Formats: sequence, C-alpha cells, structure tokens
Amino acid sequence: MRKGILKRVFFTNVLFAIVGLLSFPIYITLLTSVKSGAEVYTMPATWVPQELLFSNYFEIFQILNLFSALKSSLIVATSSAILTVLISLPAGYALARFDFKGRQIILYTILGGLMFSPVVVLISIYQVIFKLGLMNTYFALIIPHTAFALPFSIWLILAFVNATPIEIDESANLDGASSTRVLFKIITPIIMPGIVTIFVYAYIQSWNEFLFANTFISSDNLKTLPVRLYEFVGYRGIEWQYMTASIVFATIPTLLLFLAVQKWLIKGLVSGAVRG
Amino acid sequence: MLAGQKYYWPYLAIAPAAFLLALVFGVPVFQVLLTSFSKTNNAGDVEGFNNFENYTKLFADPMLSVISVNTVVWTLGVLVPATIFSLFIAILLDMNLPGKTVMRIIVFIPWAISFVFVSIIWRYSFDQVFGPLNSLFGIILNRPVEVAWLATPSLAMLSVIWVGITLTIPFTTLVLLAGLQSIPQEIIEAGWCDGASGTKLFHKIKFPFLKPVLVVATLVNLLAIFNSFPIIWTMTGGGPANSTDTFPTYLYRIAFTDYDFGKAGALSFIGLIVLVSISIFYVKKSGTQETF
Repeated sequence: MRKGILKRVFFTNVLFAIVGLLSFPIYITLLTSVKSGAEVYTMPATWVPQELLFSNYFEIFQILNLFSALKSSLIVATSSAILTVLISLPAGYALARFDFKGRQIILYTILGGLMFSPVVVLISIYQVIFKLGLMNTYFALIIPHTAFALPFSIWLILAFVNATPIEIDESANLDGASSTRVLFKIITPIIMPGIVTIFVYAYIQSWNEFLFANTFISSDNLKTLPVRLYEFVGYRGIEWQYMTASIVFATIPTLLLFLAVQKWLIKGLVSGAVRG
Repeated sequence: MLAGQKYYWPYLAIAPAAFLLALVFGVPVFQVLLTSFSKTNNAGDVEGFNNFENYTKLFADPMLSVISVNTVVWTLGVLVPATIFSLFIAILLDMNLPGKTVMRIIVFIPWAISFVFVSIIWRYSFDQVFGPLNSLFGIILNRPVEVAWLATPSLAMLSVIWVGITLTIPFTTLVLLAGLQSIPQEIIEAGWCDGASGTKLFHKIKFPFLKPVLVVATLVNLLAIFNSFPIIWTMTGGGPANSTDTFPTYLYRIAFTDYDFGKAGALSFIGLIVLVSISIFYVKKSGTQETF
C-alpha cells in the first residue's frame, strides 16, 4: 500500500509538471501584460514582474484602437453562431427522425465536411465571394464560418435528438402537431444543452478564425481581432506589453463561454471525433 | 423514424444546410479543378483552357520539392511526438489522480484560444534579444544565451514544430482519454485479479481497446497539421529562406502575393487529392457506416 501511495504522488507531480509546461504561453502572456515598457525591453527577460502595471489594459484602447476590431469580431461571431444554430437544428432533426431519399448522401457529405480544410478551398471560396460581390463585407466571413461550423453542429444535434425518445414526437404528431411545431416547441427545450454547445462552438471558431478573415477583408475598420493583432506584430514598433494585454482582452470572451459549457463541448467534440 | 408527416418536410428542413454546404464545399471542388486547367486574371476569373500550363509551371517550380519536403517534416515532426505525449498525458489523467478535473480543463483551454494569439506569444518567447526563452536558458546555463530561434533555418523549423506539438496535444489528449474511459471497468478489474501489472495491463488489455480511437485521432490530426496555416504564417511567414514554407503557406503566397490563381488552383487540386485519399482511408478504417 505504501508503494502505491508513493507512485500516485510521483505521477501527480509528473502531471503537474506537464500541465505547467503546457501553460507556459499563458503565463508569459499574463506576465508580460503587466510589465512596464522598460521592463519588457530589459535583457535578459525577467520571469517575475518587478511591478504590476494594470494600466496597460487601459492604454491599449488609445494605442491600438481595438474598438472597431472588437465590434467586427462580435458581429461576425454572433451572426455565425446564430445562423449555425438556425440551420443545423432543423437539418439535424430531419436527419435523426426521417428516412428520406438522399439521407445517406447528405450524411456522407457532412462527414466529408468535417475533414475539409479551409486552405484547399480558400481560392475557390474567394472566387465565389468575389462573384457574389461580398468581398470586404461581414458576409464574406459569416458565410464560410457558418459553413465550416455546420458539419459538427448538425452531427451534434443529430446525436442529441437520437438520445431523445421518439415516442414524444409521435404522440405530439397524433395530437395534430406539425413537425415544425414539434421541433421548436417540444424538442428544442429538451436538447437545449446541445443547442447552447453548438452556439458556443460556432462562436469560438468564428472568433478565432484567421485565414478567411485575413483574406476577404481589406478595410481596417472591418477587420477582426486576430487579423488586427497579427498586423501589429508585423509593425516594427509593437510593444509586447500592449500586445499581450490585447490578447488577454481578446481571449476573455471565448474563454468564459468555453468554461460555461466545457463539459458538454468536450463530450461533443470527443465523441464527434471518435465516431465520425 | 417518423411517418405520416408531409413528405417534403425533411427536404425543407435540410435545404438551408445543403445550400450552404454546396456553396462552400461543393462548388469549390469543381471550381478548383476548373481553375487549375484555365488561364486566370488577377481577380481569379477563369479565361479559357490553357493546355495544362498551370501544372507544367507548378512541376517546373523548384519550390515544389522544397515545400514537399518541408510539409512532410512539419507534419510528421508534429504528429508523432504530439501523439506520444498525448497518450502519456491521457494515461496520467485516467489514473484518478487528485485535481484531474482541473487538469483536464487546463489541458483543453488552448483549444478555445486563437492559434494566432498563441503563435504571436511564442514568436515573442523565441525572440533572440528580449525573449523569455533565451532568458530561461540563460538562467539554467548561467551565461547569456542569444539563440536566433526563428532566424536560423534549421532552428526555425524546430521552433514551429514545437508550437505545433503544444497546440495538437489538447484535442488529441481528450480523444484518447475518452477512449481510455470507455473501456469496461470489469475487464480491467479481471486483469487486476489475474495479477497483471500496470504495464502488462496496458499492453494486453487497454491498448487493443484504444487502438481504433488512436487510428482516428491520428488521421484527423494528420489532415489538420498538413493543412495548418496560422502557426507558421504568424511565427515565420514561411521563412527564413523558405525553411518553414509548407503547402498552405506557399499556396497562400502564390494566390495572394503573386495573384497566380491558375497555379494556386493546380496546387490546391493536388492538396485536395491528398486530402480525399486520406479521408477515404479514414472513413473505411473507422467504419462510420455503422454509426448511422
């Protein structure tokens, strides 16, 4: 028994060490965001801040003008998340509850979509967006962000509906309710955790997306947070204390959403990958 | 399955999803093929068949072999260590150690943070003069260290691979952990009763159960790493001297720096073939037919 306890203590320490190593960039970000400009540019870099300077978090708004980027990110991510829910909810329900011609093909297309890479279709989507005259508008991001969130979202709704007894739908149908009514009045409240999860999933994916955002938007006042912050790195005079404070600021919304639904989200992501 | 409802209801319910998926996944597949065989202008418009010129141009490009080698080094360099580390962490998280719930959340948090942000932080950490990493090595070695991580060709690839590994671990660990936890408890207990040691238990009982999950996680990662753009783009932009240029970064430059959409289409199509081949292999391996 003694040996067993020692072993557990040892493995706990190993786990702590690994998690600590993985948290390195998080520590660096928080550390640098409270340093003064002078401390950031001392050599070698310090590992414990000499003073805690929270004023960086206020100064970033004057220096980096993050408000327009914040507004863009909020509009694009919220729209994508709402659209994802509105589109995947009926699709997932229909795929779970009805047997119709073309069901298999649609299921395979969705599975295929899970594996699609943005890079390979970037040029073609660029042409599609260009032809539709949507270049340099929020739609140029909302459309691909929603499409890329759909496969996982439809899959998750499908799984949630499958876990709900079909007798509920059948008895409502016998009472004369249409499928639309059953879906929105009866099924939607039951699978609310699933709906919240895909909303957060689509929101985080859209909020963090870089490739499309960096390609389809050219006006500075429409650019999203990742693109804006990426551009500041390229700019030579960037001061890292402002950069890291901006990153903390830009990450807090997604992190809070993630923590709120992490249980469901992890479950969904994991089973999604394991099964399909 | 529900019956007696209007036959067109499911089609109406699926129509918006089908439309959007066709627009963003379906049309592009044909568009890439068409573009790759066509003369194109600066806006990417197709202007007639051009006799495989895009492909001839692509295969005559000395960069093609450079990015092919880099892409293989990058993909395997991230995939293999990330899988091994993740398996190790998953086993530790499965051991019922104190604080495992908190640990699980911490391991998964990077998934919710933009890869661009994490890569920016690493770019700063690797900075030759002011970076905390050189400072850390300086403390350990007790002398000033000024390694130019991202400006030395051989070290630049190593540095981006390291960041790739840390960003691949969260998702892989959770998939493997779910695989480990789905093993029926009775089987593990039976193994204990028969006197199997921890190592033997893993080899003979847990690993066979975990294998299908491992195959799927590996293939999903293979696709994701092969196509990964933001890490390299943010940290090195493909440099120095093309030492970290891979399939996505090179493709991006052909299209949006050179505006050679025909050649980019040809490269995309080759990437698409690689992608589809791996996907077919993946679907066959994981036996998804049974799920539905």
